[in-house]
Amino acid sequence: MSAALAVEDLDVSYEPGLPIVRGANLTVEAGEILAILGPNGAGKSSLAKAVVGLAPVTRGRTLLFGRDITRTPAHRMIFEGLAYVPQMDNVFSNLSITENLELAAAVVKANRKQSVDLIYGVFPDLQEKRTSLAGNLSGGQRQMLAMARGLIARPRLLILDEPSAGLSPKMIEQVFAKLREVRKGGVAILLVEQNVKAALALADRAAILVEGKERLVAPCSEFLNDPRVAELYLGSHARR
Amino acid sequence: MLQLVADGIIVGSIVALAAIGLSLTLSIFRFSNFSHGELLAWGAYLALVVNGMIGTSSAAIGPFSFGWGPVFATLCAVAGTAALAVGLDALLFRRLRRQGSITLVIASFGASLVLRSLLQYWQGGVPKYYSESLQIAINIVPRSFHGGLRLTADQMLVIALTLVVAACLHGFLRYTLLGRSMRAAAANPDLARVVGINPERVFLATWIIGGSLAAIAGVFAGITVQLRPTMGTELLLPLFSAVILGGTGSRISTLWGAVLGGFVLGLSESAAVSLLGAEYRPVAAFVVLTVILLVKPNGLFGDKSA
Amino acid sequence: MMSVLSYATFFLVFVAIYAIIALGLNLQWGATGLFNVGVAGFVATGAYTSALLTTPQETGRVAGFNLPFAVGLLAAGLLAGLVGLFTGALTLRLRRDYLAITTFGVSVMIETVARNATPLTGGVFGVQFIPKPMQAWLGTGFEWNASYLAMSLVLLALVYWGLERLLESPWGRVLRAIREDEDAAASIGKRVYLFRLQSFAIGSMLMGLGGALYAHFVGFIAPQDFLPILTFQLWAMLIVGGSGSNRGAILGSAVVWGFWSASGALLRAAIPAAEQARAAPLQTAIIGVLIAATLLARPRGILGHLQSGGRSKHG
Repeated sequence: MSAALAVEDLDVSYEPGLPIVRGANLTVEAGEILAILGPNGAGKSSLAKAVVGLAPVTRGRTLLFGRDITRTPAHRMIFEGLAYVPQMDNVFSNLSITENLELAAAVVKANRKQSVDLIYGVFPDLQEKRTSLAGNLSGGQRQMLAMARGLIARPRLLILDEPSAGLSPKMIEQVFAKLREVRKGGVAILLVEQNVKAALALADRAAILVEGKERLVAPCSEFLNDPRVAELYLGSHARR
Repeated sequence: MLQLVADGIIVGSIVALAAIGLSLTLSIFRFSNFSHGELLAWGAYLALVVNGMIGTSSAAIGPFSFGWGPVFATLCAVAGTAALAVGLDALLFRRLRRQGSITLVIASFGASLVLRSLLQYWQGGVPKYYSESLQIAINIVPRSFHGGLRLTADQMLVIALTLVVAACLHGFLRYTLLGRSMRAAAANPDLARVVGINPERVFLATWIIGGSLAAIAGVFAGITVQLRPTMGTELLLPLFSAVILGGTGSRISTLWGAVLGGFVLGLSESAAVSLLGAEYRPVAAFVVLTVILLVKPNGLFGDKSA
Repeated sequence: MMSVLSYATFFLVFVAIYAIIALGLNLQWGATGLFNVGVAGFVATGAYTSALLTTPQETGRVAGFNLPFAVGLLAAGLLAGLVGLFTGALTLRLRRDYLAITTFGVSVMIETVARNATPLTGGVFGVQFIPKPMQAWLGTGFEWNASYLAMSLVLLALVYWGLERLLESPWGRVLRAIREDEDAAASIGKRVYLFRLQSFAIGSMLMGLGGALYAHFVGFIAPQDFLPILTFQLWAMLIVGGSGSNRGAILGSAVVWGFWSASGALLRAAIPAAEQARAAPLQTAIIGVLIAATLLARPRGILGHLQSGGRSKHG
């Protein structure tokens, strides 16, 4: 049974000859949460974007449940079972909560009413404010909506870029609790995170990305006490 | 005075229709298309040519100056202009999309000159008309009241159809999947792709709608005034002013902003013509543009961030 | 032999005039990334200003100032620069398309006024008997053309040299920084808006100067001399020669003007007289295709650098 996501020897370059991600290798198994950590500029977001087709891949490939999706255009990804929650601008501010969700459901030809009701079951807070414009929501509510929107298409793999950004610790706990529920449903989750502590508490495994390449991949339990973690973070700072 | 207002509304309808299309392309493609006026002119002339091929044997419908022949010709013009818009995109704009909005503006400027020149070459510079027969204007308001108001049936149709078309488009954008996808793509192109919206389909729809509306506006302009190869270019500044006045963005209200902008432009032009003379008509659009840029550059219904 | 030389002189004067205007446009576009769709209007401003200030007494319109040629040139540049200042002040803080639209509007306005304000501009008849400098000494023949060419080339050289120095200066380096990365430049306190405004105004001045040179060479001007096709020709010159490069601007002027003249002559020769008026727009179409093709195939033009794109919120 192939991994939910396999990233093989991936190079991501916005400008020719200048790869942000260099020869990265990762796997995410079904039903597990993998956190990608690393200092600023390591290429974490670019890696996530490349997997979903929003950044140019110049070498290597990405496989979703064994299917090569390296050349798949971004708008087909959701149909392959891959949902992406970007860090910024992750909801349609000009639409209401319901409209955001209904649009996402309609695009993938899911039964609108059913899908939305189901999601409201998982995100009751969103249902309360369902007619509010997404642009008027608080940071935490917006993050919830972004996640809900990602889940409405019943993805098999969910990729989130820094879901904790700009949220209070309480909000982060709520968001991450939701992710735990999602994992229980068998969805594989790839999490790009700056908040090391929270990420390690949530994820099963973690990979530290430094200057475009994964340097350390291990179960989270091992990370907390590993001196190499601090080294990798500080080391690249010193080199700067 | 009332007549002036009515004239302004008629011109305004034409500007409004074309402005809706221009506003849509601006929201989706994020560049100001200087060739939009030429779509209007080509639409008008295509209808003229098709109508000429059909022959003038069709009897007029009701109080209007045209029969089913010209109606069919208009539909052909709509299809033809939509195809022209799509073709222009495929040939030129699509390949330049990566290069940024300014390159696209330059390219559209070049395209406008080519389109106008080709039209001039094909049709010559002499003004033409759809129908040689004069239309009887209907007395709507007697002269004793603010100078009275007389409109032909054609003119009333133009105003009515403009509002109907705008309303239909509103419904389309609000309730259909494609319409919502277009609004989403206008608001956030990357997120739209993430959600599964095919950008090419949105682009295609945008050009088809823009081209179609421009063609209808062109036919209206031909009906109410005349056809000449420069008719598109002459409307370009009023069009841009109307779009900027209405505001650009992804909300449905920007559609009505363009409509409102069109009518404001029409009325301003009426005022300018009565105050300064017909030759100074372009002043109106420029004044409106300047005022809006000074006071509210985002337009009346635009998104906060222009 | 004489007529070839004579034609060549005539041709080269136009190249020099266009080159000066193109250099102004390059300052606005190549160095500052500003798209001016109303070039013809700025050129017209310069031409009319100089013409109106230097022509002798004339009935039916404002005239009779009889000011010397040099004053005419200076005033032309100044007034065009002021128009540029006004346009820039209105739109430079907004998205870049709005500058394009506004410059378009300005040129439409200028054309409307030129065409209709007969007491001021002579209306459709334009301004005639514009004094040709040094005509008293040199007569109206080849010698005069040649010396006008010499003067124009000197002016061109001065403008080119001046611009090159300007772009190397601290002012020019800030401008380059702004073009490369606007947000970074803004963050170190450089008033982006002011630099852009200055650049736009200076570019406009050069366009006015070119217009004045044109007026005094040809001797009469009318609104038809400053139609959008002129803007288009200038843009073609910049794009084909290589935007971003001053040398490209000059080269482009020569190439496109050569192309234009040649295609005009070809069309005149190939098409019977009766059809010629109809075929004239074809020339425009051909050049339009040339621009589009260059944009698609070699966006850099012959000599230019690629626009860096500039990731800024004003995109």
